[in-house]
Amino acid sequence: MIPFNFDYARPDTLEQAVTLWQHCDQKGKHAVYYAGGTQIITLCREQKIKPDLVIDIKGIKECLTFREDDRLVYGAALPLNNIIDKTRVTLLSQTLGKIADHTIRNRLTLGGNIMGYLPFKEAVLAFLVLDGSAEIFGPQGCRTQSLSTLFNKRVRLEKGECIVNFSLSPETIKTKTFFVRKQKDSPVDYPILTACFAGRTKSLTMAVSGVFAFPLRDADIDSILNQTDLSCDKRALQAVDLLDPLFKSDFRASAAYRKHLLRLAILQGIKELET
Amino acid sequence: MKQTRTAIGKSVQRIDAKDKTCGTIRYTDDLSLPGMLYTAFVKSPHAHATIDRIDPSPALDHPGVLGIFTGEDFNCLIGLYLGDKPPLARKKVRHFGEPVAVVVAHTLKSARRAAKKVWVSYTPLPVVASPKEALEKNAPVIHDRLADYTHIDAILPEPGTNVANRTRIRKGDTTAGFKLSCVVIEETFSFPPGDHVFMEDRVAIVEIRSDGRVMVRSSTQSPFGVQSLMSSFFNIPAGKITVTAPPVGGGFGGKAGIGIEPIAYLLSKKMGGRPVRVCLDRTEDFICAPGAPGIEATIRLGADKKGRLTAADIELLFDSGAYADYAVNISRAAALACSGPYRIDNIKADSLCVYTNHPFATAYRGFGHIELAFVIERSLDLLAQKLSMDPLVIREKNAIQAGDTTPTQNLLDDNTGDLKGCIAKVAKRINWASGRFLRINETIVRSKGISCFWKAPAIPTNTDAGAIITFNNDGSINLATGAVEIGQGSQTGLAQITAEAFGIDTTMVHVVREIITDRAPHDWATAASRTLFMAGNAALMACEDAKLKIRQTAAQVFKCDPDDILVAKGTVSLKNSPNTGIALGSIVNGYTFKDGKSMGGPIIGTGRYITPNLTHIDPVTGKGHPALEWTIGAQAVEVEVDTSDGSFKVIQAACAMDVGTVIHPDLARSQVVGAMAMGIGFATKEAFAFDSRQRVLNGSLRDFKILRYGEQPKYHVDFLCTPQKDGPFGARGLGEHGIIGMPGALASAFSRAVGSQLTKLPITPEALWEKGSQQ
Repeated sequence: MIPFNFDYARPDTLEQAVTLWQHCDQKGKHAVYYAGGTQIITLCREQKIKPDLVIDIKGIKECLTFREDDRLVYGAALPLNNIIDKTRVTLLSQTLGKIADHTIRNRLTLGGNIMGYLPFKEAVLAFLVLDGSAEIFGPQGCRTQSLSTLFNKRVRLEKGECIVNFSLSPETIKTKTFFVRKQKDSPVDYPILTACFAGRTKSLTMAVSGVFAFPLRDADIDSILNQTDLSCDKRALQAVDLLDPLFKSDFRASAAYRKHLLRLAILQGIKELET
Repeated sequence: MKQTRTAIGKSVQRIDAKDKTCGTIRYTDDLSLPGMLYTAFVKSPHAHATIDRIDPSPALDHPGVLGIFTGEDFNCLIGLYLGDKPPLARKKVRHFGEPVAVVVAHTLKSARRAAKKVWVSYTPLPVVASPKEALEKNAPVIHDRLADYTHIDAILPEPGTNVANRTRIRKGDTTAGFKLSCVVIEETFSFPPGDHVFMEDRVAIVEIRSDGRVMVRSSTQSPFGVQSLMSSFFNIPAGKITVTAPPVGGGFGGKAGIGIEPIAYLLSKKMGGRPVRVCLDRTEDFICAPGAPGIEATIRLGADKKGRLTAADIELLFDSGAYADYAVNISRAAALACSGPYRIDNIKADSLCVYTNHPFATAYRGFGHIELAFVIERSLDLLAQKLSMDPLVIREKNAIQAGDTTPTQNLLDDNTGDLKGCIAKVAKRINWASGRFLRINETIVRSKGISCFWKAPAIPTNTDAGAIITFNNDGSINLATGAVEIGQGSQTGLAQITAEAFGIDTTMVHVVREIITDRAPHDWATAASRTLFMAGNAALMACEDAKLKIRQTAAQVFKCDPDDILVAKGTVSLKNSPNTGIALGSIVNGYTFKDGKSMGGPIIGTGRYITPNLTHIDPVTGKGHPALEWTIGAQAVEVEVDTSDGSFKVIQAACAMDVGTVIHPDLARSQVVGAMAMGIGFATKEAFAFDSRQRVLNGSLRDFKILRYGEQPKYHVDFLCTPQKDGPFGARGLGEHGIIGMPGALASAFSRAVGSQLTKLPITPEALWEKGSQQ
């Protein structure tokens, strides 16, 4: 039960959504964009956030786009299961398919997972590692930006902006990928490691979540992975040593175990994708 | 002679099957009373701190708020065996999440919102993080007024320390026993406290009627316990308290004591008797209400060169958390059974219930036996390793049997189950003989582990049950007992027992589902796996009583001696001419002759049971007769481990248990499978994680994980049938037992997989990786 009152709006257009947000903001009140609601409801129930206005974007058709043609476009308000069931991008269905459980994935949305309060944001990994972009709508109108510049620990948006969709180039359907996810003990839990790898000609890329306090794709790490003159073991070791200060330690896993798991994942990733 | 049975031994449909599957069953939380008030707790963010000041004023003028109360408003102490707990924390808090204030409001929404605004200032105190720390010389004393607390005689608190109870077992001569040993192991085993994670969170609704009657409705396993404890703590005549226990959505011991009923009563009193509902949400149920105890145990165990156990020296330190609750009896129960189901002639054991600054502990399925079994079973594996002996063989060699004595020096009689038979059964099920360790490839290994268990109900010496049967005109029977339906299915089992006694179909027995203390016969509590045994015995006696009365009425109809009358299969007839029968329905509520004259009146059968011949134990040696009937069994598991990262799956799990007679095969199996699943969860994930200040880090289902469907292994369940002569149709209890041996068996298998003996739970992939990489 949410023990406080708030306004709820379900706009039909992006313009309406952003206008609602701006009006609320001008009054010094707090508005949130809302999709699946699993995080917002929990935080409201615990009174950790107290939005004055909840703007549900599930009625906006642009946020519900699914197409895989000249561009692979996934609306921010699409439930994860809708994408998992239909996408031809294996890495995307693998990554989304391990988030929470089937029933919850009927509610969880792509945008909610990436834009929410939790630090894992695993859905973003596929877009990071496959050089995806995001379409954003805000007070200044619409823009599209590559995730490599938009994402730094989290998606960096301007005030009042809302994600419309995430997209990939159609070539990614053919890209060889590798996915690994580890939990503390339960198959349905936040990850202690989720790693996505993509292998293109002479270029191996990696994005990870769960091991650090934020998801990461890092150019320096990618270049270590691609030092083919070094053995797999050496590359994996160099990569995790470089990342050493970042490993998270909490009740789910120690930093040492996370480091070990990442090293194993890199080894596997290289073996799977480097032919 | 094999009897034909009409009801028992059959997997009839549970009496509550349709209500539960259709979602129409009514639990306590489904009740809404006119004028009912709602509550919300203000909880401590510290595990140990003095409460300097509570300022409710920012919350008082919140709309809908009727009152805000703190520990200072209720100057009393409550408890189960030891009165150590204020209804709300007073002066100081002793665990993270302890309620320090409560808001009463017209709606739950108002209460919760206002609770966030109550301002409390604390001064943190040094925390006690484990039983061992609690026993250190300079440890903070968590209850400095322990000497003043009231307690039952069987509990021996040690004022000035953190020891809430100590139970001593002194059997034989351990010095001599260790001299006979050729191998001795010494080891420490431990696991942290946890939670039951039953589906139905705790809820209680209390109102005080204008005539002073206190009406309690609660998700409780122990309606009569709540009645008698509230009577004694609040000085209310027991007859003025009526406790209603609707079906309970899972208890596992967590609802067997007294919990939130007292605060609901105190608040109703403050509110002029209006009904007050106290309900914990899931995260509150984790940390505000009691869970499972933790343990730290040290053992020395010796065996001769043939593997016969010669002596044991055991110290069990139960982590009771901030309050004693049931834990003072859990530590005692563990002492009474401390040898496990093995013959050990020389035992010295001290079992302590120790206060720490953890959330407090209450009864949890197994009641101290998971703890002692983990210690004993691990120790037997260590001994077997030292002796280069098959872990199965060392168990077989020491398996307890009739003629042996228990740690309390009781001679076991021929009701004792067949442990060797159980061991053989599980060994066969998981193909023990084919090998205990198998390498699949470079990183994947498979391994097996075995364990045994025993448990008798840990109960007061005067544990009772009653049964009343009445009849309907269709010849069907109404059965009233004090046994609460907590998901275990014993009301169905009791219907079967009653049906069997009358030689009728189970559908002809209607069980009174909701237990109300002013009309149900007295019953100690629905706990300790004793319901089918005791209420079953009472039901049987009620059936015999009713049959006698039916025969007396029928004798006048048939103009014969009552002994010549046969009551069976829904008819009443002359023994030598069964075709003369009249329908049971035409006689049970009085018989009317053709001319209109009537006689007999309604038949009411009554039955009762009380534990015979149980005694207290000697405080110095533990000698005595505290155990009613032992249920004994063996378990075995097979696991697969990826040694590169410690990830694993449990492939199969077997349990063989000597239950005497199986009343309901499907329910019996599901009880055992459910318990085994819970045991896998207990061993591999279900434990609280604390930070350095002993705040719970995983007090929600996002973080505290239980076993899911996809993680279930293949289960094998077998029942052996050495009759329990004083049990109903030879049956003994089986509700808890399937959990007890699982941690030991799993730890055994995992130890074999990583080549290192595990001594701690939970066994997570990281723990296995860590152990394995030390090799």
